[in-house]
Amino acid sequence: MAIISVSNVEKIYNPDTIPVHALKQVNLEIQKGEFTAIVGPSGSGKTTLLNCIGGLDTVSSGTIHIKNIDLTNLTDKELIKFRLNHIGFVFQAYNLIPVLTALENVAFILQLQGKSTKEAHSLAKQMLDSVGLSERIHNRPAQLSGGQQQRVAVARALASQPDYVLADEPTANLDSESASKLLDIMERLNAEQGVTFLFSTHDERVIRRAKRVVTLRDGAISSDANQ
Amino acid sequence: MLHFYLILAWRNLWRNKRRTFITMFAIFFSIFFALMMRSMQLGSYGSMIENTVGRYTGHIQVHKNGYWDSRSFEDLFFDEDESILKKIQANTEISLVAPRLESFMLAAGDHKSRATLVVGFNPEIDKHLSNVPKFISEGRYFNASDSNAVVISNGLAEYLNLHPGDTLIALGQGYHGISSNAAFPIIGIAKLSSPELNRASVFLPIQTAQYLFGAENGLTSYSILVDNPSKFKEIAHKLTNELQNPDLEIMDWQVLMPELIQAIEVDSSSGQIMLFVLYLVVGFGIFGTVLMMISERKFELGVMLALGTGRKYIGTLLCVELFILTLLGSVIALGFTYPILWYLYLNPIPLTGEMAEMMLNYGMEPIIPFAASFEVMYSPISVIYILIGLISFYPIRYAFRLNPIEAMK
Repeated sequence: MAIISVSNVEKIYNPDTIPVHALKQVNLEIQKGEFTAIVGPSGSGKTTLLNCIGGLDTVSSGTIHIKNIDLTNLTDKELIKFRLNHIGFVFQAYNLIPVLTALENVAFILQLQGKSTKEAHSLAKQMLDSVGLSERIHNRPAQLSGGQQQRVAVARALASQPDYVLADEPTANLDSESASKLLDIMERLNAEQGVTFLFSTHDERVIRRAKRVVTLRDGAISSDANQ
Repeated sequence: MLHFYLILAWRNLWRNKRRTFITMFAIFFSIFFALMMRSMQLGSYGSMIENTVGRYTGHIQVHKNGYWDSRSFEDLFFDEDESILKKIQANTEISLVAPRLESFMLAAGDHKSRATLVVGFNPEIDKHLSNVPKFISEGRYFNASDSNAVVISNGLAEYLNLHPGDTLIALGQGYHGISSNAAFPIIGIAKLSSPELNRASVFLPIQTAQYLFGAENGLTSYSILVDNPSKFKEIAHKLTNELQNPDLEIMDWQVLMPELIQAIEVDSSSGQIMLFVLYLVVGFGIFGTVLMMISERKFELGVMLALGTGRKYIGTLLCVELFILTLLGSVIALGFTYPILWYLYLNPIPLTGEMAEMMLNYGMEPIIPFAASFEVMYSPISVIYILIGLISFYPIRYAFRLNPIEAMK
């Protein structure tokens, strides 16, 4: 059974003034453990689709089901809780909290889930260890390189044990070596732990490693191929 | 989670040290200025009250029921066996009880006359209340042998052109309408603090006054001073219960001298307006900081919301930051200002030159007094916190309207 099921999704910005059709009748199913890249030129709707799947944006029509839960029917409060417990996010600009250390950035999500500080820190250490940052847990983001920050972001995304991880252009700000290292980690987590990854990207390095590539053009899926 | 709130809020504050210091200084300055101003105001009021109330009416007075309204000499009370006096003196919170017999007469010199207040008092007791001896500008105060002499106020002496050693003629009406006329040698002239009293007052021993008015043992009032002036209402109420005498009325100075309260209220209101303007300026300053604080972290707050941080949590976090900022500013302000206030309370600022002369002319100490009571602290601090409470509605509103996508753009 699909973990993510997008059915006839449309997203229209400014429907009452100058309507912009960001997504047109998008249908997509993502199975558990997939390593999928959504690609397409700028303005093709990649980020909008990811935002809708991540419960950050609403759809104009259609439905998005995550394991039988219809995201389009959830209230704002329910969506926040859903994101916390079911979705991991990795952003292009890392988006770590600058005043927290790597460990605290990862533990923060766990504490929001209700775990004690001790338990949260213990789990966060394990996560940081799994992304190869056990030596840098007490460093603040400003003391880490871009690649290291993005690995902390991955650890944070995985800490809550989400159903899937949404990564919006995760390698866009990274050099080749850092990007490669990050992709290695993601691939390993996908292979070993079965973590479902869904990328929005136009980075060839990511596209080459993705097992499935969904191409968006002008808000509609133009191709969907396994590789 | 509270621990985490505090850590996050604390660290966020120090992300922009300069801004934090400027805001703290604004809070510090407003509290410092408000405390100094309020302390000076309350100190002056205390001094006004002590100069006016403590030096003439007393904190509390006991009269015959209805005397204060009628001011009729027929409304005297008699305390031959001093039972009333003993009951009053039995109250340990009372420091002094001064018997008085007061009326109005026509006072005359060689060529002029003026209606004047005649105060029969116990010179020994009343010197602690009316402070007449302190204000003697010519001649001397009463001694034990001066049973038939008067001390007159400076204004009256100037008007009638009288000096110590001259004779004052007193003409008037006594108890039950008897004719009261007498000639008294003047032993001293007093420059009194109250302009009204200074204009026309005659002081004489109470037995002489009782004889003059044909009212043996008659009293118009017992003027009372209490140990703790702030408790006068409570003590007056207690005294009413203790005396249990329906023929007597017990009044505190606020009832006796409503014009003084009005003067204080008018002055206090103008001070409050100044403080309001200060708080308004500081309030907008703090609000500006909050706007900056939120604006520069818009992206980060959007990320937190996207990751699953509740809106309530984000709003609370911003409020905690604001509260810590205020707490720091107010604690530093209090820690800095209170010792200064306490020092000024113990060592009021002395006035010199014309200002000092003017105050001395009114029989007041030439000083700027300060107060260091809880009331001084309470008002500015609570206003700042109320202000912060109102300002904190903005971050709460912001958190509840935050759109993660808009914020992360």
